[in-house]
Amino acid sequence: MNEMNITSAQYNVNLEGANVSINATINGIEMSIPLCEGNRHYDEIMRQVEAGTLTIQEADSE
Amino acid sequence: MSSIIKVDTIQLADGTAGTIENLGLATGALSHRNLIINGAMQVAQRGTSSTSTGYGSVDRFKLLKEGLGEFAFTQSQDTTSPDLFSHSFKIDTTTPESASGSGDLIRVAQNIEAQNLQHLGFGTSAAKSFTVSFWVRSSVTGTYAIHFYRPDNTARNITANYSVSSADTWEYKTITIVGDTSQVVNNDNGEGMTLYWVLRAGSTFTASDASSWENWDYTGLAYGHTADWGSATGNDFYLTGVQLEVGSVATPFEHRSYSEELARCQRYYRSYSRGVRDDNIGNLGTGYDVNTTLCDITLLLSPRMRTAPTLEYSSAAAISIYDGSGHTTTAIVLDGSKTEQVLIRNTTSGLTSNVAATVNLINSNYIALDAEL
Repeated sequence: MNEMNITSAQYNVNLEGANVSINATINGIEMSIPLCEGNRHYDEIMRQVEAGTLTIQEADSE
Repeated sequence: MSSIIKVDTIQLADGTAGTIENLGLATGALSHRNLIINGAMQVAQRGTSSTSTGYGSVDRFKLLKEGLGEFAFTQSQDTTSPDLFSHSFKIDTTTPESASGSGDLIRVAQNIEAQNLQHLGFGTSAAKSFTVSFWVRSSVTGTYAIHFYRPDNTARNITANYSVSSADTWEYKTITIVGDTSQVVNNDNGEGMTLYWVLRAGSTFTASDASSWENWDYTGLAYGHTADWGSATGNDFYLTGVQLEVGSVATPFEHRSYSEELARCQRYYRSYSRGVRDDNIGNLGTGYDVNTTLCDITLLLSPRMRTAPTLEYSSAAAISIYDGSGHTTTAIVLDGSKTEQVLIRNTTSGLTSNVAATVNLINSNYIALDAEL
């Protein structure tokens, strides 16, 4: 069962330009999600990406 | 020195007479027996009421629904409770499901972390029975299912039943589940076992007999459930006093202090000024202006969280940076996240580079960290 309705997802980069987290809106709540397996939001984002139902946008250029 | 303990009567949690043997003291721990967190529904960091599924009110308990077209609800921390308890978890039907569907499913759940279940010996010849006890009150009488699911290795599940005999009346229930010698629960911080209280279930989920441990089969997760809950406005379901302990006897509920229960909950979720605040500005601490647009703040997490947490925030403009003048954020992101600390990067404009700044929540805004299972 899918508890999470993810309506947007975009990478954030650090000062060196590496992806460090994903900002997403999940069930209407704004979140910043670490790139960490075991985090339920990250795991669900990756599941939906793998299923082809979600695309993570690249970070905005600085 | 010898000592004598004299008692006139021993009373079990349901008020009936007990004996030393059925207090379970011979087999279970004298304290920290209860593997359920927030079983008395004392802690509600997210606020006391929500109309959303998932985690919404009382900590560690979530509401799940599937396959329903009309059903709407409120989940809340409620003060309706049996004697010796102050709160309950309440699910209230605000829009009923007019017709039963085979795929209907409404459940209340709590996940238990795997490493906290090692002493139950799942998957070994020493696997122990365990007992769940709880107080329940429902406006709909009938037979309800309670489902136990373990995902590690080859997933396993078992379903038991209990009856609600009188509408709108608190009833105490105990259910003992035999140990399962198949499939180890990994000794890690993942999901070890989840308890599901089924409120409503369509025929898809009642089709097969899951009254003994078996490999995961969703068609038995609500086996035996017949209660038609959620079909009328005002159908209510209350739950409190939830305890899961090793052994075949339900001992009296292990009441823990609010502070101890809050600390346990904060391994999974912690809020900063969500729900309760005593002024208009919630100070998060001192940050550092990295340049003219970015201010970093590190929050240390004690106790450590279960896993690297998600940062949840009420708005991109939730925070004000003060470095001699105030600056409202336009973006909030995690720049780092570990179990023991997070680094939050706040974007704004007009900052003074390389100076300290105070980081404050504006008015009713909040941030929270989420490491739930």
